[in-house]
Amino acid sequence: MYKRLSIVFVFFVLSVSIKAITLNAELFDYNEEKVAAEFSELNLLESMLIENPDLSLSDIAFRFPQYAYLLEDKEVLPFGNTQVAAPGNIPSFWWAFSFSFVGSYFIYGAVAGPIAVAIVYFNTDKNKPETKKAIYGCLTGTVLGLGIRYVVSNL
Amino acid sequence: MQLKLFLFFLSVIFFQTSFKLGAQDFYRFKADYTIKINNPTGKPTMKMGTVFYDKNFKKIVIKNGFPVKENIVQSDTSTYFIRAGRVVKHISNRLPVEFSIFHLALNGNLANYGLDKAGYILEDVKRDKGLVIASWTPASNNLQGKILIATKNKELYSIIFLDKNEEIISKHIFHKYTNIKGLGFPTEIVRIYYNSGKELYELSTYRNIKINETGNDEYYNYQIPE
Repeated sequence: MYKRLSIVFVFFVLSVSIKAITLNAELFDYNEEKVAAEFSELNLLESMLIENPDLSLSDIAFRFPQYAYLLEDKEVLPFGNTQVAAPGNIPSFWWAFSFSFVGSYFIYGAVAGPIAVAIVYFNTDKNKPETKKAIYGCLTGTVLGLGIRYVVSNL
Repeated sequence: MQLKLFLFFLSVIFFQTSFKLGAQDFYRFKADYTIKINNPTGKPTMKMGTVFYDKNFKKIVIKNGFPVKENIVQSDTSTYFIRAGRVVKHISNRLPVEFSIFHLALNGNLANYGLDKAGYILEDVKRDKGLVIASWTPASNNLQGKILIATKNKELYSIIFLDKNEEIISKHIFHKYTNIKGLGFPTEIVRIYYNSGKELYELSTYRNIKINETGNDEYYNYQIPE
Protein backbone atom coordinates (compact mmCIF):
# COMPACT_ATOMS: atom_id res chain seq x y z
CA MET A 1 0.00 0.00 0.00
CA TYR A 2 2.79 2.34 1.05
CA LYS A 3 4.71 1.49 -2.17
CA ARG A 4 1.67 2.31 -4.34
CA LEU A 5 1.21 5.61 -2.60
CA SER A 6 4.87 6.43 -3.20
CA ILE A 7 4.51 5.66 -6.94
CA VAL A 8 1.41 7.85 -7.16
CA PHE A 9 3.29 10.64 -5.36
CA VAL A 10 6.28 10.37 -7.77
CA PHE A 11 3.92 10.50 -10.78
CA PHE A 12 2.22 13.55 -9.27
CA VAL A 13 5.55 15.34 -8.78
CA LEU A 14 6.62 14.42 -12.33
CA SER A 15 3.36 15.67 -13.83
CA VAL A 16 3.80 18.99 -12.04
CA SER A 17 7.36 19.37 -13.32
CA ILE A 18 6.34 18.36 -16.87
CA LYS A 19 3.90 21.30 -16.84
CA ALA A 20 6.93 23.66 -16.87
CA ILE A 21 7.12 25.80 -19.99
CA THR A 22 9.39 24.50 -22.77
CA LEU A 23 12.02 26.96 -23.93
CA ASN A 24 11.93 27.43 -27.71
CA ALA A 25 12.08 30.25 -30.27
CA GLU A 26 8.34 29.93 -31.11
CA LEU A 27 7.48 31.32 -27.68
CA PHE A 28 8.76 34.69 -28.83
CA ASP A 29 6.78 34.75 -32.10
CA TYR A 30 4.09 37.34 -32.66
CA ASN A 31 2.00 38.57 -35.56
CA GLU A 32 3.97 41.56 -36.83
CA GLU A 33 1.50 42.32 -39.61
CA LYS A 34 -1.42 42.39 -37.19
CA VAL A 35 0.37 44.85 -34.90
CA ALA A 36 1.32 47.08 -37.86
CA ALA A 37 -2.26 46.97 -39.19
CA GLU A 38 -3.65 48.02 -35.79
CA PHE A 39 -1.72 51.30 -35.94
CA SER A 40 -1.59 51.95 -39.71
CA GLU A 41 -4.23 54.68 -39.55
CA LEU A 42 -2.08 56.67 -37.08
CA ASN A 43 1.06 56.75 -39.24
CA LEU A 44 -0.03 59.78 -41.30
CA LEU A 45 -0.77 61.85 -38.18
CA GLU A 46 2.51 60.81 -36.58
CA SER A 47 4.57 61.89 -39.63
CA MET A 48 2.66 65.16 -39.80
CA LEU A 49 3.32 65.94 -36.12
CA ILE A 50 7.02 65.08 -36.46
CA GLU A 51 7.30 67.54 -39.36
CA ASN A 52 5.06 70.19 -37.72
CA PRO A 53 5.44 69.82 -33.94
CA ASP A 54 3.62 73.11 -33.29
CA LEU A 55 0.44 72.02 -35.00
CA SER A 56 -2.42 72.92 -32.71
CA LEU A 57 -5.08 70.48 -31.62
CA SER A 58 -7.79 72.58 -33.24
CA ASP A 59 -5.85 72.48 -36.53
CA ILE A 60 -5.69 68.71 -36.32
CA ALA A 61 -9.38 68.43 -35.47
CA PHE A 62 -10.30 70.76 -38.35
CA ARG A 63 -8.03 69.30 -41.03
CA PHE A 64 -8.25 65.67 -39.98
CA PRO A 65 -11.60 65.06 -38.29
CA GLN A 66 -10.92 61.31 -38.37
CA TYR A 67 -8.32 61.93 -35.62
CA ALA A 68 -10.53 64.12 -33.43
CA TYR A 69 -11.12 61.24 -31.01
CA LEU A 70 -7.38 61.20 -30.25
CA LEU A 71 -7.53 64.64 -28.71
CA GLU A 72 -9.46 63.36 -25.71
CA ASP A 73 -7.50 63.55 -22.49
CA LYS A 74 -6.42 60.01 -21.65
CA GLU A 75 -3.88 59.24 -18.97
CA VAL A 76 -1.42 56.65 -20.13
CA LEU A 77 1.44 55.15 -18.15
CA PRO A 78 3.99 54.58 -20.90
CA PHE A 79 7.11 52.49 -21.47
CA GLY A 80 5.73 49.17 -20.32
CA ASN A 81 4.85 50.13 -16.78
CA THR A 82 1.53 49.39 -15.13
CA GLN A 83 -0.39 51.07 -12.34
CA VAL A 84 -0.91 49.38 -9.01
CA ALA A 85 -3.97 50.24 -6.93
CA ALA A 86 -6.79 48.65 -4.99
CA PRO A 87 -8.87 45.98 -6.79
CA GLY A 88 -10.64 47.37 -9.85
CA ASN A 89 -8.08 50.21 -10.04
CA ILE A 90 -10.07 52.06 -7.37
CA PRO A 91 -7.87 54.70 -5.65
CA SER A 92 -6.48 53.07 -2.49
CA PHE A 93 -7.62 55.94 -0.22
CA TRP A 94 -11.25 55.72 -1.31
CA TRP A 95 -11.22 51.94 -1.27
CA ALA A 96 -10.17 51.80 2.42
CA PHE A 97 -12.29 54.85 3.29
CA SER A 98 -15.51 53.25 2.01
CA PHE A 99 -14.96 50.02 3.90
CA SER A 100 -13.93 51.66 7.17
CA PHE A 101 -16.67 54.31 7.00
CA VAL A 102 -19.46 51.80 6.51
CA GLY A 103 -17.78 49.30 8.84
CA SER A 104 -17.25 51.68 11.76
CA TYR A 105 -20.77 53.09 11.45
CA PHE A 106 -22.06 49.62 12.17
CA ILE A 107 -19.38 49.09 14.89
CA TYR A 108 -19.19 45.32 14.40
CA GLY A 109 -17.85 45.97 10.91
CA ALA A 110 -14.99 48.09 12.23
CA VAL A 111 -12.61 45.36 11.19
CA ALA A 112 -13.54 46.01 7.53
CA GLY A 113 -11.14 49.00 7.32
CA PRO A 114 -7.99 47.10 8.32
CA ILE A 115 -9.03 44.24 6.02
CA ALA A 116 -9.34 46.75 3.16
CA VAL A 117 -5.84 48.07 3.96
CA ALA A 118 -4.47 44.51 3.95
CA ILE A 119 -6.10 43.87 0.56
CA VAL A 120 -4.39 46.99 -0.86
CA TYR A 121 -1.07 45.90 0.66
CA PHE A 122 -1.14 42.51 -1.03
CA ASN A 123 -2.85 43.63 -4.25
CA THR A 124 -0.13 46.22 -4.89
CA ASP A 125 2.75 43.85 -4.18
CA LYS A 126 3.37 45.54 -0.79
CA ASN A 127 3.67 49.00 -2.34
CA LYS A 128 4.35 51.46 0.51
CA PRO A 129 2.83 54.70 -0.93
CA GLU A 130 -0.42 52.90 -1.86
CA THR A 131 -0.63 51.20 1.55
CA LYS A 132 -0.07 54.58 3.19
CA LYS A 133 -2.95 56.06 1.17
CA ALA A 134 -5.13 53.13 2.26
CA ILE A 135 -4.20 53.66 5.94
CA TYR A 136 -5.13 57.36 5.69
CA GLY A 137 -8.39 56.36 4.01
CA CYS A 138 -9.08 53.83 6.75
CA LEU A 139 -8.42 56.35 9.55
CA THR A 140 -10.52 59.06 7.91
CA GLY A 141 -13.37 56.64 7.23
CA THR A 142 -13.30 55.30 10.79
CA VAL A 143 -13.34 58.75 12.40
CA LEU A 144 -16.13 59.93 10.11
CA GLY A 145 -18.15 56.72 10.50
CA LEU A 146 -17.91 56.78 14.30
CA GLY A 147 -18.58 60.55 14.36
CA ILE A 148 -21.75 60.26 12.33
CA ARG A 149 -22.87 57.29 14.41
CA TYR A 150 -22.32 59.31 17.60
CA VAL A 151 -24.26 62.31 16.25
CA VAL A 152 -27.14 60.15 14.97
CA SER A 153 -27.42 58.20 18.24
CA ASN A 154 -27.48 61.42 20.31
CA LEU A 155 -30.12 63.21 18.29
CA MET B 1 67.44 45.37 -20.68
CA GLN B 2 66.39 48.37 -18.60
CA LEU B 3 65.26 50.21 -21.73
CA LYS B 4 63.16 47.20 -22.77
CA LEU B 5 61.54 47.07 -19.34
CA PHE B 6 60.87 50.81 -19.44
CA LEU B 7 59.27 50.51 -22.90
CA PHE B 8 57.19 47.56 -21.71
CA PHE B 9 55.77 49.49 -18.73
CA LEU B 10 55.23 52.55 -20.91
CA SER B 11 53.24 50.51 -23.41
CA VAL B 12 51.16 48.95 -20.57
CA ILE B 13 50.35 52.40 -19.18
CA PHE B 14 49.49 53.70 -22.67
CA PHE B 15 47.22 50.68 -23.33
CA GLN B 16 45.39 51.07 -20.01
CA THR B 17 44.90 54.81 -20.50
CA SER B 18 43.59 54.42 -24.04
CA PHE B 19 41.24 51.61 -22.87
CA LYS B 20 39.82 53.83 -20.12
CA LEU B 21 39.28 56.68 -22.58
CA GLY B 22 37.52 54.30 -24.98
CA ALA B 23 35.16 52.88 -22.34
CA GLN B 24 32.36 55.48 -22.18
CA ASP B 25 30.36 56.23 -19.07
CA PHE B 26 26.78 56.56 -20.22
CA TYR B 27 24.66 58.53 -17.77
CA ARG B 28 22.07 60.51 -19.72
CA PHE B 29 19.45 59.49 -22.26
CA LYS B 30 17.11 61.72 -24.22
CA ALA B 31 14.83 60.86 -27.13
CA ASP B 32 11.67 61.89 -28.89
CA TYR B 33 9.10 59.15 -28.70
CA THR B 34 5.77 58.02 -30.07
CA ILE B 35 3.61 55.51 -28.26
CA LYS B 36 0.65 53.90 -29.98
CA ILE B 37 -1.73 51.78 -27.94
CA ASN B 38 -4.57 49.75 -29.35
CA ASN B 39 -7.86 49.34 -27.63
CA PRO B 40 -9.63 46.02 -28.18
CA THR B 41 -12.98 47.80 -27.90
CA GLY B 42 -12.25 50.99 -29.80
CA LYS B 43 -9.80 53.00 -31.86
CA PRO B 44 -6.06 53.15 -31.09
CA THR B 45 -4.56 56.07 -29.18
CA MET B 46 -1.25 57.86 -29.60
CA LYS B 47 1.08 59.95 -27.41
CA MET B 48 4.15 61.88 -28.52
CA GLY B 49 6.82 63.79 -26.66
CA THR B 50 10.34 63.71 -25.29
CA VAL B 51 11.77 61.50 -22.57
CA PHE B 52 14.73 62.46 -20.34
CA TYR B 53 16.63 60.14 -18.03
CA ASP B 54 19.76 60.65 -15.92
CA LYS B 55 20.82 57.51 -14.07
CA ASN B 56 22.21 59.58 -11.18
CA PHE B 57 18.85 61.23 -10.44
CA LYS B 58 16.77 58.12 -11.25
CA LYS B 59 13.77 60.04 -12.57
CA ILE B 60 12.09 59.26 -15.87
CA VAL B 61 10.82 62.62 -17.06
CA ILE B 62 8.35 62.64 -19.90
CA LYS B 63 7.57 65.90 -21.62
CA ASN B 64 4.34 65.07 -23.39
CA GLY B 65 3.50 67.16 -26.42
CA PHE B 66 0.55 65.36 -27.95
CA PRO B 67 -2.34 65.32 -27.35
CA VAL B 68 -1.96 66.97 -23.93
CA LYS B 69 0.93 69.15 -22.87
CA GLU B 70 1.99 67.75 -19.51
CA ASN B 71 5.03 66.41 -17.71
CA ILE B 72 4.99 62.91 -16.30
CA VAL B 73 7.67 62.08 -13.75
CA GLN B 74 8.41 58.58 -12.52
CA SER B 75 10.54 58.36 -9.39
CA ASP B 76 11.00 54.98 -7.70
CA THR B 77 7.52 53.39 -7.92
CA SER B 78 5.55 56.65 -7.98
CA THR B 79 4.36 58.52 -11.05
CA TYR B 80 3.28 62.16 -10.98
CA PHE B 81 1.19 63.84 -13.69
CA ILE B 82 2.04 67.55 -13.72
CA ARG B 83 0.13 70.23 -15.60
CA ALA B 84 0.72 73.98 -15.41
CA GLY B 85 3.21 73.42 -12.57
CA ARG B 86 0.79 71.43 -10.43
CA VAL B 87 0.62 67.71 -9.61
CA VAL B 88 -2.80 66.74 -10.89
CA LYS B 89 -2.48 63.02 -10.21
CA HIS B 90 -0.16 60.70 -8.31
CA ILE B 91 -0.24 56.96 -8.85
CA SER B 92 1.92 53.98 -7.93
CA ASN B 93 3.39 51.68 -10.53
CA ARG B 94 4.55 48.10 -10.43
CA LEU B 95 8.08 48.51 -11.75
CA PRO B 96 10.71 50.80 -10.18
CA VAL B 97 12.84 53.11 -12.32
CA GLU B 98 15.75 50.65 -12.13
CA PHE B 99 13.69 48.26 -14.25
CA SER B 100 13.20 50.80 -17.05
CA ILE B 101 14.82 50.29 -20.42
CA PHE B 102 16.63 53.63 -20.03
CA HIS B 103 18.33 52.70 -16.75
CA LEU B 104 19.22 49.22 -17.96
CA ALA B 105 20.65 50.47 -21.27
CA LEU B 106 22.78 53.18 -19.65
CA ASN B 107 24.17 50.65 -17.17
CA GLY B 108 24.89 48.04 -19.83
CA ASN B 109 22.37 45.61 -18.29
CA LEU B 110 19.80 45.52 -21.08
CA ALA B 111 20.81 42.07 -22.42
CA ASN B 112 19.65 40.29 -19.23
CA TYR B 113 17.23 43.02 -18.16
CA GLY B 114 19.15 43.43 -14.91
CA LEU B 115 17.50 40.29 -13.52
CA ASP B 116 20.70 39.07 -11.88
CA LYS B 117 20.48 42.12 -9.60
CA ALA B 118 16.72 42.00 -9.12
CA GLY B 119 16.26 38.81 -7.10
CA TYR B 120 16.07 36.34 -9.99
CA ILE B 121 18.12 33.18 -10.48
CA LEU B 122 19.18 31.87 -13.88
CA GLU B 123 17.39 28.52 -14.18
CA ASP B 124 18.03 27.30 -17.72
CA VAL B 125 19.63 28.42 -21.01
CA LYS B 126 18.91 27.03 -24.48
CA ARG B 127 19.81 27.90 -28.07
CA ASP B 128 17.11 27.74 -30.73
CA LYS B 129 16.92 29.25 -34.23
CA GLY B 130 19.53 31.92 -33.60
CA LEU B 131 18.13 32.90 -30.21
CA VAL B 132 19.78 32.34 -26.85
CA ILE B 133 16.87 31.79 -24.47
CA ALA B 134 17.31 32.11 -20.73
CA SER B 135 14.75 31.24 -18.09
CA TRP B 136 14.95 33.23 -14.84
CA THR B 137 13.07 32.17 -11.75
CA PRO B 138 12.27 34.38 -8.75
CA ALA B 139 14.42 33.75 -5.71
CA SER B 140 11.55 34.50 -3.33
CA ASN B 141 7.77 34.10 -3.30
CA ASN B 142 7.34 37.88 -3.09
CA LEU B 143 8.17 38.24 -6.77
CA GLN B 144 5.85 37.26 -9.60
CA GLY B 145 6.48 34.30 -11.91
CA LYS B 146 9.35 33.38 -14.19
CA ILE B 147 10.83 35.65 -16.83
CA LEU B 148 12.12 34.40 -20.17
CA ILE B 149 14.72 36.40 -22.08
CA ALA B 150 15.80 35.88 -25.67
CA THR B 151 18.95 37.51 -27.04
CA LYS B 152 20.06 37.67 -30.65
CA ASN B 153 23.65 38.59 -31.46
CA LYS B 154 24.14 39.47 -27.78
CA GLU B 155 21.35 42.08 -27.95
CA LEU B 156 18.07 41.79 -26.08
CA TYR B 157 15.48 40.53 -28.58
CA SER B 158 12.49 39.70 -26.44
CA ILE B 159 11.33 39.28 -22.88
CA ILE B 160 8.33 37.31 -21.65
CA PHE B 161 6.75 37.74 -18.22
CA LEU B 162 4.93 34.69 -16.87
CA ASP B 163 2.54 34.45 -13.94
CA LYS B 164 2.90 31.88 -11.17
CA ASN B 165 0.95 29.35 -13.29
CA GLU B 166 3.41 29.91 -16.16
CA GLU B 167 0.81 31.67 -18.32
CA ILE B 168 2.17 34.55 -20.42
CA ILE B 169 1.25 37.95 -18.96
CA SER B 170 3.15 40.06 -21.47
CA LYS B 171 5.68 39.79 -24.28
CA HIS B 172 8.06 42.61 -25.23
CA ILE B 173 10.02 42.60 -28.50
CA PHE B 174 12.96 44.94 -29.11
CA HIS B 175 13.71 45.91 -32.71
CA LYS B 176 15.85 48.20 -34.87
CA TYR B 177 18.85 48.76 -32.63
CA THR B 178 20.83 51.93 -33.16
CA ASN B 179 24.28 52.67 -31.83
CA ILE B 180 25.00 56.11 -30.37
CA LYS B 181 28.48 56.73 -29.02
CA GLY B 182 28.83 52.98 -28.46
CA LEU B 183 25.48 52.54 -26.69
CA GLY B 184 23.11 50.13 -28.40
CA PHE B 185 19.42 51.00 -28.02
CA PRO B 186 16.28 49.54 -29.65
CA THR B 187 14.34 52.25 -31.50
CA GLU B 188 11.19 50.15 -31.79
CA ILE B 189 9.60 48.17 -28.96
CA VAL B 190 6.44 46.13 -29.30
CA ARG B 191 4.68 45.18 -26.08
CA ILE B 192 1.85 42.68 -26.08
CA TYR B 193 -0.29 42.27 -22.95
CA TYR B 194 -2.54 39.23 -22.58
CA ASN B 195 -5.69 39.71 -20.57
CA SER B 196 -8.74 37.42 -20.49
CA GLY B 197 -8.06 36.09 -23.99
CA LYS B 198 -7.56 39.59 -25.42
CA GLU B 199 -4.30 41.10 -26.70
CA LEU B 200 -3.39 44.71 -26.03
CA TYR B 201 -0.58 46.16 -28.15
CA GLU B 202 1.77 49.02 -27.33
CA LEU B 203 4.23 50.19 -29.98
CA SER B 204 6.98 52.61 -28.84
CA THR B 205 9.35 54.23 -31.30
CA TYR B 206 12.31 56.46 -30.44
CA ARG B 207 14.10 59.02 -32.60
CA ASN B 208 16.63 61.85 -32.16
CA ILE B 209 18.34 59.90 -29.39
CA LYS B 210 21.00 61.85 -27.49
CA ILE B 211 23.41 60.32 -25.00
CA ASN B 212 25.15 62.30 -22.24
CA GLU B 213 23.50 65.56 -23.30
CA THR B 214 24.64 68.69 -21.50
CA GLY B 215 21.90 71.21 -20.72
CA ASN B 216 18.20 70.58 -20.04
CA ASP B 217 19.21 69.97 -16.41
CA GLU B 218 15.78 71.14 -15.24
CA TYR B 219 14.28 68.09 -16.98
CA TYR B 220 16.92 65.52 -16.03
CA ASN B 221 16.53 66.48 -12.37
CA TYR B 222 12.91 67.58 -12.51
CA GLN B 223 11.68 69.00 -9.22
CA ILE B 224 8.22 67.66 -8.46
CA PRO B 225 6.01 70.54 -7.24
CA GLU B 226 4.80 70.30 -3.62
